[in-house]
Amino acid sequence: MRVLFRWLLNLYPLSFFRKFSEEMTLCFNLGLQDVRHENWKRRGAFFVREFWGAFTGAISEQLGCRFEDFCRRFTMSSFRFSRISMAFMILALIGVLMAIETALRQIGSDLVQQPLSFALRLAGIFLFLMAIFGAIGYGVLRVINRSAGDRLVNIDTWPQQRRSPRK
Amino acid sequence: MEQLPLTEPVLFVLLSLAEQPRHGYSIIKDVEQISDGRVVLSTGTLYGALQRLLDSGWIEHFEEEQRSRDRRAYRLTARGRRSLQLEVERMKQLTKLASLRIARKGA
Repeated sequence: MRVLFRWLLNLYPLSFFRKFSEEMTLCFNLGLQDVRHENWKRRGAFFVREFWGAFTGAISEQLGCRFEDFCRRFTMSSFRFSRISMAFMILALIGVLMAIETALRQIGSDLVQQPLSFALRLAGIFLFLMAIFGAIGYGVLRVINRSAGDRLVNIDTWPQQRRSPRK
Repeated sequence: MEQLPLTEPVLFVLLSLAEQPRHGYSIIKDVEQISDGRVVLSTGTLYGALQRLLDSGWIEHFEEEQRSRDRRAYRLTARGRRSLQLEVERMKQLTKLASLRIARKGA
């Protein structure tokens, strides 16, 4: 188990490894000593927690950002769906499109394949254009330091209902 | 760079260090104790948080007389203490507001 933990520490960036690997190993060993005489459930929970923590921690450090920060940043959105949900939905859509295309190749019927293939290409072009325009729009809004959500929120549609709570 | 609101592990690490300087494993045990066993940090989570807190200048290494390379202590800096106080104030306000709202709904 110690060897496995040491191996997982190798997944961390070199600077992090040099800085903390000995401390982390000591910490793991102390934890291991504590759970040595516990029942198998507690020992199992300890190993799962430690290995999972080391693994996700290594990925997080390698990416140079925290998953929590990433999620926090991408879920703080004024859209109906959070941005991370949108990203996953687009990924899922791409996956479905690819699956349909693969299935069509296997069927090999021109009667079905041609219109569907055309529709798929159209959907692909649409997604590509959406990504390009989205990136440009996002960049422009970043430059002027305002989001579309902010603009919508600040529209004074019903001024009588927008009284300050301090008044 | 740490931002408010703090995540639960980071908050507990800061609370643990607010009392006295501690070593890594001592922080894990203290966090488990003060959270009544609800929050059990893994070594990876703890050192990821410590790294970020060191980068933010909220904690620092604490030099001990009997210092060993693999057993370093950490302590809260003045900046970290101030941030922790801000977070606690924020949580107090939130709790107060929530209590008022719940009481009003219950009445």
